Amino acid sequence: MKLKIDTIKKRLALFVFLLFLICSLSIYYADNMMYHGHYSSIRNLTSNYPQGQVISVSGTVFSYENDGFLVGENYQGKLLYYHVISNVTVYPGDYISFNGVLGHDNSITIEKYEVVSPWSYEFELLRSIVVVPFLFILFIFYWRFDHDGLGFIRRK
Amino acid sequence: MPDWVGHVVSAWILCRILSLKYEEFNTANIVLVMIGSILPDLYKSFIFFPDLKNYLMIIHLPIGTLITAGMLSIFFIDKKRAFLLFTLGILTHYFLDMLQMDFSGGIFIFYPFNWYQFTFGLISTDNWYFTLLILGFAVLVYAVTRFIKMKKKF
Repeated sequence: MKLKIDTIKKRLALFVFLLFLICSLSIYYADNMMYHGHYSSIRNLTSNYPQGQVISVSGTVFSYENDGFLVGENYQGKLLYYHVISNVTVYPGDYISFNGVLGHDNSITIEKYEVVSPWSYEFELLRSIVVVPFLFILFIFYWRFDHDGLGFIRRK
Repeated sequence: MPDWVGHVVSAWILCRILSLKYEEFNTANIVLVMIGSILPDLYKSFIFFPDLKNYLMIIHLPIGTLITAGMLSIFFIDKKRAFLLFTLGILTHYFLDMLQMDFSGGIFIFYPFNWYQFTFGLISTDNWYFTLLILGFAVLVYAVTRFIKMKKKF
């Protein structure tokens, strides 16, 4: 059986169906992802405290401590702070992602990590943003909106 | 994620090579593949809506990106072709994303059927040498494919 989506009504119905589908999957994912991740994340530390387990954390370096540094992540409007035990060289403002063993009082001993400096992150954003107008111009150059068929069609 | 230059150029490289054999990979269609290659990163719009981050993450999962591609394809006269071209771009995106380090365990590639996470974890997320490598490879592919196409003409 071939499904023909040739009228505006059928297209609108399909669009609404897909929108409903993606919203449903999105809600289910957001509600359940924290229970299924390979590592516990900072988010479910608020509901349970898996001390001694390897967890995954991403956040911004706030300050140095004697034996490490302080990492914070914004979670639902609240800043959660973690004391990271490590001799990794970082600077306040750096973005760090790591796996580490959770100790008492929100302290974490790093096992593996990646540090992204603010300039590196901004450079990556800049490189990415450049692509948007480039693709937009290319699209407009090769495709046009056909008002009769109500859809994009290749330019001759 | 590798930056968008890396994603778009990788999609172009693949299409350019495929264009040697398949006429479908003309410049207009390649543009759709290139758009598809950055489609999963639409979820980055959470920057403007931080509270919706977990909800927008669905766009950066294969099932969510495919549905998004389906929704976009509705706005094309040749919907099926547009969808397939977007999908090819999406595949290149996930391949590149899986090469990068992911400390959460990787992408939930089979969601909603399975919560299995996967990543190769080979490159750093902000590694711009990788983008340079892709750009260099693109120049090489352009030169070689141009040579082959000219040879075919004469």
